[in-house]
Parts: sequence; C-alpha cells; structure tokens
Amino acid sequence: MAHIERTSEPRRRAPRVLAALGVLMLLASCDGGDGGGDGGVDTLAGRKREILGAVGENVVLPTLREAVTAADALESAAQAHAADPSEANRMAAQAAFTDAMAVWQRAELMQLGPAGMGGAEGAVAGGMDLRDEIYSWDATSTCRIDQETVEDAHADPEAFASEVVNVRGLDALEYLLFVESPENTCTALSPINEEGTWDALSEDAIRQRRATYAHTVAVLVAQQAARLLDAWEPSGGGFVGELRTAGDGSELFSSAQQGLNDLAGAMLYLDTQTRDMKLAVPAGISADCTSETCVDDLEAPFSGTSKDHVLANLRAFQALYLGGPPETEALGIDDLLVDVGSEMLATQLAEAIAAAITAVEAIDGTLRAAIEAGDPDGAVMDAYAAIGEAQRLFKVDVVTALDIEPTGFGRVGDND
Amino acid sequence: MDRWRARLNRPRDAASLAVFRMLFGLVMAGGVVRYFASGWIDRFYVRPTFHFHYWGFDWVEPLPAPWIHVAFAVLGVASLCIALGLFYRAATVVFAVLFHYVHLLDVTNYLNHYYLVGLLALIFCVLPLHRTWSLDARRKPALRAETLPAWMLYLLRFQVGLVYVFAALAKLGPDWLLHGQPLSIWLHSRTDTPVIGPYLDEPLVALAMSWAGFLYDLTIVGWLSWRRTRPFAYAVVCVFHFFTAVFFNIGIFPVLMTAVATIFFSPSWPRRWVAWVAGRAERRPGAAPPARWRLPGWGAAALGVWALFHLAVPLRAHLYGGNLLWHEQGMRWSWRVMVREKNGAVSYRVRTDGRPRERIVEPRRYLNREQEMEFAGQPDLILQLAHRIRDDLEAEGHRDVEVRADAWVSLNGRPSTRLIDPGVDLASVEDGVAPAGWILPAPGGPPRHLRSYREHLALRPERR
Repeated sequence: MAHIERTSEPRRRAPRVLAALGVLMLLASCDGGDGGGDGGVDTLAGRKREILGAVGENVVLPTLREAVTAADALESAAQAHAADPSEANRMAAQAAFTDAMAVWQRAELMQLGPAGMGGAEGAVAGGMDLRDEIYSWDATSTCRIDQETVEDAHADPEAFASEVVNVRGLDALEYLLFVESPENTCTALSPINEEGTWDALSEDAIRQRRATYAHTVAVLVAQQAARLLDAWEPSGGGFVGELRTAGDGSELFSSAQQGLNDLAGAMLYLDTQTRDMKLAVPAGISADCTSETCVDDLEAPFSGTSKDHVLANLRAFQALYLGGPPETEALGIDDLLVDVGSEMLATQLAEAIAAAITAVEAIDGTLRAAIEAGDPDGAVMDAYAAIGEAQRLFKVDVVTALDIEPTGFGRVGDND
Repeated sequence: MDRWRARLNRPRDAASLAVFRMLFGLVMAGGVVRYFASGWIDRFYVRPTFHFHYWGFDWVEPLPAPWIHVAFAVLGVASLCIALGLFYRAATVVFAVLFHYVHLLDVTNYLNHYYLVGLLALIFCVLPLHRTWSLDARRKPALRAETLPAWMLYLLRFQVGLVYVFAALAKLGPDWLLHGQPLSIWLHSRTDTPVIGPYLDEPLVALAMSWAGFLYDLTIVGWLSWRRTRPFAYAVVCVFHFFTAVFFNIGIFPVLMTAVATIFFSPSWPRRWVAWVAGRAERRPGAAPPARWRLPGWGAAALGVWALFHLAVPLRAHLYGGNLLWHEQGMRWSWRVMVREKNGAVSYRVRTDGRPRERIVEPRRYLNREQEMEFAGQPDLILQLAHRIRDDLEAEGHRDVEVRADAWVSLNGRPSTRLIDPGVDLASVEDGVAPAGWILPAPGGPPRHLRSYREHLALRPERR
C-alpha cells in the first residue's frame, strides 16, 4: 500500500507568492557588495579604509611623484648623452639612471592599482599593467636590445612604444647606459651575428646608437611614470581615492578587505622577487641556480646596484607596513594589527624588517663581489635568512591575523 | 530482522526522490557552468605542471586540453540528463565516473561537498530515481513507478544526515566553542557587510555564531525530520546557507545543502506543492513499486556495511590522537567543514651527492599559487612534493638526495610554528596511514584573541 501523508486543500495563493517575492527582494538587496555604510572610522572597515588611504597618500603617491621627477631628470641626461655620447655625459646619464632606479625599486613593491596586473587572473583592482611598461625585469633580454640597436628604428619614441616591453624599460636602459663591451650578447646563430650586421657597425656607431636608443627608452619611461602617477593622483585617475573609499563608494573595491588583499599581494614581492629571485638565485642558495653561484642572474649586472635594489625593496616594504619611515607617526598595517589586539606581532614584524635591512647593509661591497668571494662572512646568507623571517611573519601570521587573501596568492576556487 | 527489512521495503512516494534528483542535477550543471565561466578548468587542471595525488591514485592524470574541457562538458550534459531523468542510467554512471575522475586529479581541490557529491553520485547509480517525473518514464511508460521502497529514501537521508552530524562533532573543541575560532578571524574581514558588518568583529558575535553553527549542525536533521518543526527548520536552513554564501567563498555548497535538505521532507511534499500551486487536490501516489526493488537479505547486509563504513571513515581520525586540525591525519572524508584557518609558508632544503651544502627549493617551482596556498598546511602533501623533488634530482643524476622542509603554519590564529620536523629527511619517509612521527606536535595554548574595533577604541579613546 502506498504511503500516504496528509493531503492539502486548494488555497489562495496570492498572499504567499507576494510574501515570497518580498523575502526574495530583501535577500537580493543584501548582496554583500558595495557600501558598508558606516562612512567614518568608528568601525574596523572604516579603519581599514583610513589606513589604505593613508598608505596611498603618504607612501605610494610621494614615491611615484619622486619617480616622475627622477624619470624626467633621467630623460634630460639621456638626451644630453644622445646628443653627445661623451664619457662625461654617459656618466651623468648613469648617475641619473641610478637615482631613478633607486626610486623605482621602492615603487616595485607598490604594484597595486594602475601599476598592477590588469586582465582577469591575478588581476588587481584598477590594474593597468603599467609596471611592465616601466620596468620589465626579469623578462629582460639583452640580445633583443642588441637586435634593436642594429635595427636602429628607435628614433621615434611613439613608434617604438609598440615594441615588446623588455626592450624599452628601465632594465633595457641599464644595459644601454652601462654596458662597456662593443660586443653583443646574442648567440652566434642569431641573425645579427650570422648576417654580420653587428660586425658591420663601428664601435662609435654602436656607442651612438646605444645612446640614442637610451634616450628613446628614457622618454618612454618618463611618459609611463607620469601616466602611472596621474592614475593615482586625486586630480587625475584618483586611484588613491578608490583606496580611501574601498567598500564605501569606491567603484573598484567592493570592500576595504579587498583593498587590503591587493596591498598585501603587492607586498609579497618581497618573498617571490626580492628574497628568491634577487638574492637566493644569484647567490646559489636556490636550487634554481644550477652552478655554484649565478651572478649573471643578478638584477642589475651592469650597474652593480643589485644590493641597493634589495635594500630599496625592503625599505618600501617597511614603509608600506609602518605607513612611513620608521620612528614616524604614520598609519600603516602595523596599526591595524594593534587595533585587533596583535600588538606583539606588529612589533615582531617591525623588528624583523629592521633586522633584514641591517643584514643587507652588512653585506660588504656589491652583491656580486660578496657572492664571487664565496660569501666569506656569511652576510648574504644572513640577509637571506633575515628577509625570510620578515616575509614569514607577514605571509603567515599577519595574513592570518587580518584574514588577508593576498591578491594573486589567495584561494581562487571554493572552500569548505 | 524481517521486521526491519519489511520497514525498509515499505513503499514510499517517489516524488521527493524525483525532486531530489532534479535539484541535484541542476546544482551540478550549475557547478560545471561555473567551472567553465571562471576559467578554473585551465587553472586547476591544464596549467599546473604538478598535481597532488591521492594515496593509491598516482595513475590518475588530467587529460590534456581540450579533452579535459570535453570531460567537463560531458559532466555538465550528464548533470542535465540526471535532472531531466533522460537516459538516467547512462547519465548517472557517466557522471559518477567523470566526477570522481576530476575529483581525484589534485588533492588541493578536495572539498567536503565534492566528497558528498561523489557519494550521492554512486548512490544514484544504484537507485532508479528516473521512474517518477522523468523523460525516461515519459518515453518508456513501463518504467513508471510512483512509489519506491523506503530504503532508498533512508539511504539518501543517512548520507546527507552524516554530513551534518559529523560537522557538528568536528566543532566539539575549545577553538570553536570557547574561542569562537576560526569564525572570529573570518568575521573580522567581513565588516563591510551591509547593516550587520560593523558588529561582526565583536568576539561575542563570533562565539554566538560558533555555537549557533554547532547547534544547527547537531540538530537540524531532527528538526527537518519532524513534521511540526519542518517549515521553520527549512527556513533556518535557507537563512543559514544564505549567510554562509554571503560570508564565505564556498561555491555551490550552500545551494547544494539547501537542495539536499529536502530529502528530510515528507516523501509526498512535491505532490502537495504541485497541488497547492495548481489549486487542486493532491493526487495520491499509485501502486507499490516493482518487487525487484525490494531489498533482499544480502541487500540489507550491503546497506549495513555501507552505513558502517561511512560511520567508520570519519571516526578513523580519532585513532591518531593529537590535534587533528594540525596533523590532518584522517582529516579528509571526515566532514570537518570550515573548522580551521591555516596559513603556511614552506620551503625545502635539499642536499645531494654527500655534499654538506644545502640548497633551497621553493614550492612555486612546481606549484601554482592556489596549490601553494592549499598545500602549505597539509603534511601529506608537503611529503608528496618532497618526493617529487627527490625524484627529479635523482633523474638529473644526483645521488644520496636528502630533502628537508621548513614548514611554518598558523592554526586558527596562533603564532606560526613549525609543522614538520626540520631534521627529518622526507626523501626517505614513506607516506602511509600510520601516525606520522615527522609531523611536530600542535602548538599549545589558545588561539590569539582578536579584539573588536569597539574594544580597541575603549582602550584608546584618543582614536575617536
């Protein structure tokens, strides 16, 4: 016999349907999107917005302004060098490059928003891929730069801007301004060697072409740096305002937490690039280096400023974390840790960053010299370990305490 | 015994089972569409150069593109066929095979609700859920049956009920019930939520929600099963899963659980609803099901074994002792849903050819960022990658390969601690089900207390 449960009589449906629709609309209205609605800083979300805005205004914007000034100076010096490729002008251009790069190495840690990745996967809010337009390391190809030198089609910066990024950024500029050798870096099978087009150039012609090429690249770098700054400026693209209003009016960030995720993702540069690519690989600490050491993989093999780059990265990390230079009263991520009761962690990380800076500073001479000497006092290894400690505290403890999912590193799929 | 069998064979309206089939198929089809739309097939199965295998399933490898996409497309079609009850027998087998195949491809994609889907898919292969309200029954009237034996309903209820009960048991611990962790951590990052957001960082809110979650999991099956409380209980199910969907990135889980909870309703509920919507009297289901679906003695024994097995699998975790959330031995397939927040950083130190010098291998050499994030807190996966590193080095001609791990993990907000004994050469450790001595004990003490911003302002009034 079939199991029968209570039967129901026909009923009037309209009120129930209306009630159901009402509930659905209520639920739909709570879509978890924009608008925490608290406006001020009396809530944790408001506090996050305050800190994001402060970091944007006090750390990122000043760095980018400085980068534009330095890029303009570099363009002028490169222009003088192109007009007269004398040794004095070359040295002046090199000095201008070093200044510009010193600033840019701080900006490397600030690849959130316009400097960051656009597109779909791993993209940051407001990403415009401008970083690669300015500096494309570690995709640098000196052979491609040599090929462009032979091609000599770089007189017009506008036309040259359509070339791939790794022949027209600061990394290309380093090679063009600092390389001493009149030889090229391509293999014998490369067309410029096989067809003899490189050999057909005199040393003077090579010097001149490199100088002209360097000027074109400097023009492009200055343009892109200005574009990046404009995208951040309140009077321009206003990205800094997006940070300040994340989750409360921002068109890019649906929550303050998303802004924090993007910032943290940018800061993990210290882990993947600084510690690993810039230090562990050249020093032979990483198994990715298949010989004793890999000094050719140093970030700045021609200018010899690799150690300065590591230091600049660390100082930028420190500034983003503390909201400014140490010993200054500024709002940073450390304040957020204090807010949620993780004072000890906040102090631990601040100390770990300072220790990492001290450890890098303790490397005697250039990074190349220290590595080639076999790291006699263990300073490179110590620096590697000290950066590792700072990045671990950030990547594990801070990320947990603030429930950050660093953009580009966090979970993409589902969870349960 | 015979009385029990008679109970199990009692005819029950097949309508709720038919709706269960439809909802399951539709949710799964939606899940497949989501995989395509999010680009996850490429991201999870095409691009990674290394996949974490389940123990004993090293031979399961992803199909190359575009065949893996084809597999997902077929999975989607099979899901729709299940929903429609079209070519149901073939569709359920295809679905079960492909779903398990995809699920076995990479351990980092393991989710409890995928495990549930896999089990339900296996059950679907056995049950004739296409006999009511299906295109198959329309095409072949001989298939039609308006009732099915009660054991089919009970089996599905048992399987869904297990999830809730074990999820509740998993919450029985100080982190969840005394410290409100990991909910407190998660809620601190959701303070942008409209209306309630500003209150979500209050420790009491996390604690209240922890207890609510525990009591919900522990009792909801009972409330859903009791006719008097059922409407209210289902409203709670909807609200609960709505909020889990809003707060947490758990994909189809809320929709799936809201759908499968209908299995606890009266078997005739769909007929009643149809009658209500159509404004006519409810039609009673017809004759008893075909005799061949009656449970024979061996069938009852098989059901018993199935039930015991699925009770034993989650319970095996208790054999290991220690903090399961830390060592994770017995963690998978035990319905420990959303009970831990783990973040970690792992790097390997390798030594070869008897040389004293160690070199570092970063996991990112093998893993994409999603895999790296997931594997860092799971010791068996850390061991698995260590073995891959060893194998690669040996293939390069190195001998005496030693691989050690520096694995630092934070559990539910505690300060990060070493997870793996840094002195143990993982290259010489074999994976297995025995307790792993190379996993260090869990950190003691309570998790870090997260303060609310209101508490902070009270401590530092100058901030106002």
